[in-house]
Amino acid sequence: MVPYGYEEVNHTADLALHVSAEDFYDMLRYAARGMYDLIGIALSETPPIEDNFEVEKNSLEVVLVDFLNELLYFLEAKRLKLSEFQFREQPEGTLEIDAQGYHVNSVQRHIKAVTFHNLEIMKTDMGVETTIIFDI
Amino acid sequence: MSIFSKVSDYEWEISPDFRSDMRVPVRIFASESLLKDSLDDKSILQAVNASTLPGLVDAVMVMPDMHQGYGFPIGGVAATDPETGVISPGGIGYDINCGVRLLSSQIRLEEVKSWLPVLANKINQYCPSGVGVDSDLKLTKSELAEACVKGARWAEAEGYATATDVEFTEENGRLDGADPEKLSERALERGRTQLGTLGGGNHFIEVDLVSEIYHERAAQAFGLYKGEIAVQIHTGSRGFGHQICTDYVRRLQSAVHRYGIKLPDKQLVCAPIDSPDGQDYLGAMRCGANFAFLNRQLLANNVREAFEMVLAGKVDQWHLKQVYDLAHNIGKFEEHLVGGQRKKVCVHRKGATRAFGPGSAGIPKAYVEVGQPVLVPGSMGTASWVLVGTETSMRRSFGSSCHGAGRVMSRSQAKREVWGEDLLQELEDQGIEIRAGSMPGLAEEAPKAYKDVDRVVESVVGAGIAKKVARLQPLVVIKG
Repeated sequence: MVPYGYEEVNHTADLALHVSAEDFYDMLRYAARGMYDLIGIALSETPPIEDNFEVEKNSLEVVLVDFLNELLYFLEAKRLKLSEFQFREQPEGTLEIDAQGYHVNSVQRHIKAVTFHNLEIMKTDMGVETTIIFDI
Repeated sequence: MSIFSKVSDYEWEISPDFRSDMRVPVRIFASESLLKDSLDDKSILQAVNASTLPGLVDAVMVMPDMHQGYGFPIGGVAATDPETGVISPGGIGYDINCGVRLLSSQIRLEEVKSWLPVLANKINQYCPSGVGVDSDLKLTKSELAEACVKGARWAEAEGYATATDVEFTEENGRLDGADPEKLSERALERGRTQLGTLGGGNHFIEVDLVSEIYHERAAQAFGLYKGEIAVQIHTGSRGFGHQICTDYVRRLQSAVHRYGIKLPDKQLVCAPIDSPDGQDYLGAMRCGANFAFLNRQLLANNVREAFEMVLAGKVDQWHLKQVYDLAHNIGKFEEHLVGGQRKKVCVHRKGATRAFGPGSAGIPKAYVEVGQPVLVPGSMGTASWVLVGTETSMRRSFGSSCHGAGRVMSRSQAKREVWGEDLLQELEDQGIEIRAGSMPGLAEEAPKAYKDVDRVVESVVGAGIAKKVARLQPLVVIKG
């Protein structure tokens, strides 16, 4: 396992991703990349667009699940793969996220949802890590 | 194995003394060998976790096709008291009312054999399948809201279903109490373009041969005859159901603290049935369930059109008749015998099927003498089974049985061990016409990734919670 990044781990019926990062926002970035890798996305050549969304501030686990579920929504509803995330904490208690949206030609696999199953973000000497289970 | 007490060769129990937070026992229906195999993943631990939920009645049950899920195991059944118990979205699953429909015919194999490749192409063309594929039917949000309140009656009014189709569907294709006001805008947005689509993953349409009959009387009642063609459709509520479950799993994360419920796993999140949270989830879940009944109905309609296009004028009778449509991810209020008394309970089935026995209310009149059909699809390319519910299932498993073969191998391992193109060739060499959207997706669904469905069926039959009626062999497989 590399110090920071993501790695698919074995799960009988669904998909699981182990993610480790220096801090929580990097964890979101790696989790996004890992989830997109599991989905298998072919992009179109159309230039990317800027897009944004927000999630409510909550426990780290809830923010992680909400963030990834938003990405799934963008993929299905807008056919966009988001990356180059910039995070801004708002005083009213939301996390605003700006991103570049790349147009998607096709996907190999459909992830129904990000689950809370055994989800716990743990602090380590090197940063944070967790394992996320996806329902497919 | 020491934690299990043996009730019979196919029934085992874990006492609530096993762990201090268990409220009821765990009852497992499986042969000893399938039970030992289940120790390779966390399905038993998940069943024990599920047994901690408030208001559980009798026992948490696990079917022999069990495998690790999230929160509840796949193959799990749990019933809660409507007044003191909870409803848990995790006990129903993201794919609300994923289920199976079986259609029978009077077409003999020899009449249709040469037409199977053309039939496969036509079904594949008429039934949208695969990841990200939308329906030709696009509803407005208000049309979708109406459709998921009316369920199968909407399909009948729009000309997509007959009265017989509705009668031979679990709950007549409609759960009462669906409330579109409890749906998010996002769920409506996702659902309005997906009615009449197969989806991907392990969803499929199969044309099968009825290869063996084991229970003549039940087979006749169901309209199944050896040597004739049948059709299975396996799919659920698509993005609509997934969004409903996502919304409520999220919402109930905070709700459990308000109700003072402690959970060993966040995915077991729940709310008291009689709370606003519980009632809102029920209203939304029923919309998802009704959507899935409609989804399978529209696909059945398209399959019928494909049969007519290819076979009209070439065989005497190309029509397909509904045998049954049932759910294997659902939560419903049913009456069961509990402690010798009839009692209404909220039955959660996640990867488990209703299997009502002879004489039960709620099954079609034509089946009352024999019992309700239980549809058990095998893995791709292997046999599927039609079983029938029994009186024992009503007494021992809240009228429930298994739902399929159950996975034993992760998708990544299946892709490492199986090359989709090789698998396609193997299946075609067996005479099976395959139409698949993706070769990696095909590899993930390889037969070796699943349990042997014959062993699963042996266990439910051995436990007495179902009886064999017919065995089906695949001729055509359409996978998303």
